Amino acid sequence: MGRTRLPKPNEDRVFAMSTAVITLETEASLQSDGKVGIVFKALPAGRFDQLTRDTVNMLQIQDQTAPDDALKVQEVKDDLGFEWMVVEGPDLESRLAALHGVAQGLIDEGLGGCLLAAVFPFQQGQRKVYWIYGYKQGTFYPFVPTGNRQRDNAEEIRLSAIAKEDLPVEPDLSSWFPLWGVPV
Amino acid sequence: MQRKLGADAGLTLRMFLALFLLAVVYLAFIGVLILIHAPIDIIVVVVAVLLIAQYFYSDKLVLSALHAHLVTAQQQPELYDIIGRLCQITGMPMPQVAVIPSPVPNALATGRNPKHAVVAVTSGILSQLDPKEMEAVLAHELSHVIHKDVKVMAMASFFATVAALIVQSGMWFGMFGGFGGMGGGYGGRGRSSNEGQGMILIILVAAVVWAISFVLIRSLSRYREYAADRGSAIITQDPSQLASALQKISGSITRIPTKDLRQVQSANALMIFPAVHVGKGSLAEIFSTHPSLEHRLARLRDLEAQLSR
Repeated sequence: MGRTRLPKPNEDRVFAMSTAVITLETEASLQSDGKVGIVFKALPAGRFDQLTRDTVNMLQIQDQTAPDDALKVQEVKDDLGFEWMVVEGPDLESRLAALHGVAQGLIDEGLGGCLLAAVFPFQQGQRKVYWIYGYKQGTFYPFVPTGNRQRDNAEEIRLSAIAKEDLPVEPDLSSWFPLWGVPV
Repeated sequence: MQRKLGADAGLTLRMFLALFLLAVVYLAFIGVLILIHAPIDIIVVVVAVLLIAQYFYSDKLVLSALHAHLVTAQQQPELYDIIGRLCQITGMPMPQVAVIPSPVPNALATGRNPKHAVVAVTSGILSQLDPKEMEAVLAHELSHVIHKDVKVMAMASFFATVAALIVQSGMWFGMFGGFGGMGGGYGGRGRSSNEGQGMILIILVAAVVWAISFVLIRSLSRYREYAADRGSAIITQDPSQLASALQKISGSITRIPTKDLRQVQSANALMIFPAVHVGKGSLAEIFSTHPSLEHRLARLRDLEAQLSR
């Protein structure tokens, strides 16, 4: 709308997930859970509710199809007091678009620093597997919790090998920080 | 023993290149020594005897040096299970199994051939790794035995050891006897200054050979480590287990963290930068016997990608 928007590489790279899901399904048996979660830190008071309202509005404008296909937006606060927005819906492209809308909006306002991570949950057989996108570094890394604050490092390394052609995977293992008890 | 993974032509080529260059250096060394009529027969014989002894007794030597004690299947049933399974896959006879009482995670296998092999693990590694990771590490160690790395490295180091001994004994004799014009010294006879200069030349040549072969032997050692990683991947068909084991035992700087992202973010506003360590292209790696963790993990990741396609 008259404003020049320069591409923000850290924010745009999350779209790589749209092509990666195919590889992840065929080679790692990961079934997408139909959700994406965004976790924020230290948003100004009231901004979070505003964000949710904005997102809902944006999606309703976007979504011309039947109400059953509409995306649902939920607000969740986790055990550590961090605020999450969970976008649920059948179509990955729309979920990614919602993500983009949220992130872009915050970045435009100078609140880009409040974006912590986007989390993509998957089912692998009986257990949940997460791909976490860190906004600071613009990279993905896998997270496979096995209960009791443990994680399956071998499976995480295997997933990173499988996905390396499709996703910008974080090369530094010591940056693969977990999100225990993630509400997605 | 190739299961589903093709041969790594690049790695094989590099190993042969290192061995070839070593052979060239050693032949040049022998040539020079013959040319200047160097009286080094005694040293060669001594080194040969030492290396043969080392070759035959390496397993016992290593065990006593590390204070390892042999264990039975009753004492370490899980360990015996893992090694037993690996022997079934590789067709190796069951080696002797020892435990080293140390909290530092480590594992090794030694012995001149599969029939005289010993596998030793520290108590530290037993507590840190889960069974599949342990299996991957032991498969790496057994690969060293299968590849007869003890023999290869002993042969590769033979003339380097001769050269090193010449330099050291030459210095020693030099200190006592002088390099010319004074009495006493090598062979108990007085030395003319000509012989003294010959001696210095021998020591210089030996020093150069030692320096060049040092770098080549280190390179060869690193290639054999990659080969053992590959061997482990072929045996277990699961290179990610080895990668996971390596990052666990390599120290906190490189391992996958357990600290929550949300806690890390609140602790400091700046993102964490990687600590300085031996990474790709580091000069220190040239002189190291093992490749850097990053390089090993990258190769294991490639192997994993190959296996899954």
